[in-house]
Amino acid sequence: MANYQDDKELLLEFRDPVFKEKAYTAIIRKYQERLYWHIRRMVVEHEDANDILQNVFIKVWKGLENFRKDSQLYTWLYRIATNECLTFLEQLKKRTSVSIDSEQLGLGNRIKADSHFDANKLEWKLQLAIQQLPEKQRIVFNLRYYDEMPYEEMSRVLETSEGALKASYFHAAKKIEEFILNS
Amino acid sequence: MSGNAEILNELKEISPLLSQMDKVNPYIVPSGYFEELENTFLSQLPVDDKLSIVQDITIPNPMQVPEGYFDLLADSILHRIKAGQNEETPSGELKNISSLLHTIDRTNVFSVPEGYFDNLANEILTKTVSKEAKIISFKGTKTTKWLRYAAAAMVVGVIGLLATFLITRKEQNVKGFDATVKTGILYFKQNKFDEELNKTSDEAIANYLQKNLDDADALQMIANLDYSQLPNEEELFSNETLIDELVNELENKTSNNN
Repeated sequence: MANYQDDKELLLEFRDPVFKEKAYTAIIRKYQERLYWHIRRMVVEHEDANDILQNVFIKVWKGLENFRKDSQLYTWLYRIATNECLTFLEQLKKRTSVSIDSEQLGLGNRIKADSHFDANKLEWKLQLAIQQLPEKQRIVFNLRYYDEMPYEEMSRVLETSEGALKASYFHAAKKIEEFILNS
Repeated sequence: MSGNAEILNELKEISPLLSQMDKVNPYIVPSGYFEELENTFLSQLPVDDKLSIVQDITIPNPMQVPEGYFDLLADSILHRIKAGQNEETPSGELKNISSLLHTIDRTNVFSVPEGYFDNLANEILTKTVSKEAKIISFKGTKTTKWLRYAAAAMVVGVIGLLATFLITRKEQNVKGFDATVKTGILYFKQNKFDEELNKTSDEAIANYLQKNLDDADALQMIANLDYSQLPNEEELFSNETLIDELVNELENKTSNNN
């Protein structure tokens, strides 16, 4: 695994015009994959994930100068990425009109359209099951299940109490289990 | 090492004198004070309270616990502590919620285009850092009018690009520029624009851009442009004074910024 610079150090460098670009590049390289997968799991298609990810980093470029909570860069990035995903999904809803159901949004169909999709494989069933969840529950499940994010950090990302997040994760996991067993 | 020894060492560091003194209690209490204390308090309570307390002491507790409760209590608490510890890790927590989900392999089913992550940073940099890099100082540079036209024309479209190529090729002076732009527009109207542009080699285009994009003035003017306010090509054709207006506006903005 690659060795990445400490966030505090990166932020210090970013504020120095001489090292700004270097630090920015390092921040992208450090977080690009984690954020990408967080986004990709929410929107499913690579092209959309790529657009959102680039928007996230462009916002980071504009906002990082004034960012002062040094220890929370990681959660700040996740928060921007999550908000961008939610905005995107909101726009998708408007485009496809009426529905608030993720399956009707076409996320399930997007999964089925993946060239590697195999309906018989459990890991794909899991993906379909995740897309059945309401957006917020889906975010909580993904952050906990895939990113193994502690509730304390998740609480900062989603600005929700730890208790509510635990409950949300519990319900999400139960719904997924039920979906898989019945499919 | 006992706690007392630690405290003593601590005291030695703080005050060697105090640490050497015997801990004698100088205070005394009346004889039999502690033995009688409980009864002394009870005798001072109001009658009702005294009764209830006495009853509590003398009558067996009416509440009962399940048989063997206290024997199993320690194990029960330990089990909960361990379960609580498991909840701290996402894996343990999931095992408790859904053993099925816990057993599913977390293979990533999605794929990304080859080299995507290798190129991503550079792609983003072109949209952020390089945009800012174009904003450079204008002060002290002497520019010719045709270059300002070129800068403006470059951003309004390919007509200007062609016109500036024509200028470069024919080495026309500033006076001839307007005529060249008109020629470019004419070519465009006659659908000959692509044909003319194709006559110009990629190398010539690259050289032109390299030469002129290095000019601080042109870059500063481009940086000052409000792209949403630019006229479209049709407007440009129908009103030939638009380029002049645009250049004047840019000149004003540029001088205001410096």
